[in-house]
Amino acid sequence: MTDISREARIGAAFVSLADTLTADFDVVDLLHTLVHDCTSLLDAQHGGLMLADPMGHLQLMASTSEQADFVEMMQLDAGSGPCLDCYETGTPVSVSDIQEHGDKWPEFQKAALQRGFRSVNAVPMRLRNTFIGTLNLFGTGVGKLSSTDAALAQSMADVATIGIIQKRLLRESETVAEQLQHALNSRIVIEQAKGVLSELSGLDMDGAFATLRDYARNNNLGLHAVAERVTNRTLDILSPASLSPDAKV
Amino acid sequence: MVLVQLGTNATDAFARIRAYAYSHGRTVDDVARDVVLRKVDFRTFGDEGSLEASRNGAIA
Repeated sequence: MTDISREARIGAAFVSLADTLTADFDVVDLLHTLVHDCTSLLDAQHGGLMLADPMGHLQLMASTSEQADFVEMMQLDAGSGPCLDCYETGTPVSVSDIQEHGDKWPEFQKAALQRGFRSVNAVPMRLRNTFIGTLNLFGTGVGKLSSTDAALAQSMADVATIGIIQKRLLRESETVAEQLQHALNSRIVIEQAKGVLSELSGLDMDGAFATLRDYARNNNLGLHAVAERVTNRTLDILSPASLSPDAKV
Repeated sequence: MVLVQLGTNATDAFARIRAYAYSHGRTVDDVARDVVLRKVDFRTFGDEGSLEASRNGAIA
């Protein structure tokens, strides 16, 4: 993709974020868009995103790979890690070399290195004084994000955060916490749908998610709605008839 | 995955995973991991006496 200028790709990423923020957008879909776009734009190989549930505990909401999934879950299990620190302090946490400087979080360090991650950048999801989660970018090489890239990651996280908080304002009666609970429930259904697709097709979990997401995209449907129908077996998105010509990525 | 294997819904599938975990002295998490890795397939246990069947090595 070197033939497309970086500026154009950044522009496209913001458009796709804005596009996800339609009147009744799907929060999980938005978060996946965010973490995927940031990962591909910012020279990170893997990404994950956590949001706080109503109790204030972080929950993993989106990730670009099973490796990222593992390292994120490990931090949540251990109750420590750069991504948790980022959320707690509301400031970015950057570890340019996990092997050299990651010993503050031994469990994280071990898990990250074991999965081939050498560096991490965690960016808070915040709007003024409201912190709702953290966006985490993992690199397989050592090194820091440039200040431009760090600012870009923060901008994209900010746009998504505004969208999430704005959605709450539209439904005045809901608190951010309640809304995040919905997002969390949505993720559960998506995980179940991934299982159904994986079992039916033999795809791995990443492949199952891509199939689910492509179907939702190609048919202009919400990820949650598609996942729900896949899980209760009222929609078969694996049959050839349900695939549009360019569905394969 | 288990709901497909058993032709049931998510709630019942979870109950079956929990029952399997309990009878094997394992955690649900642990069993779930094996399901995803395709090491445990609930189809091989049949409809009833599923726990018995698995104890007798019916997994293969």
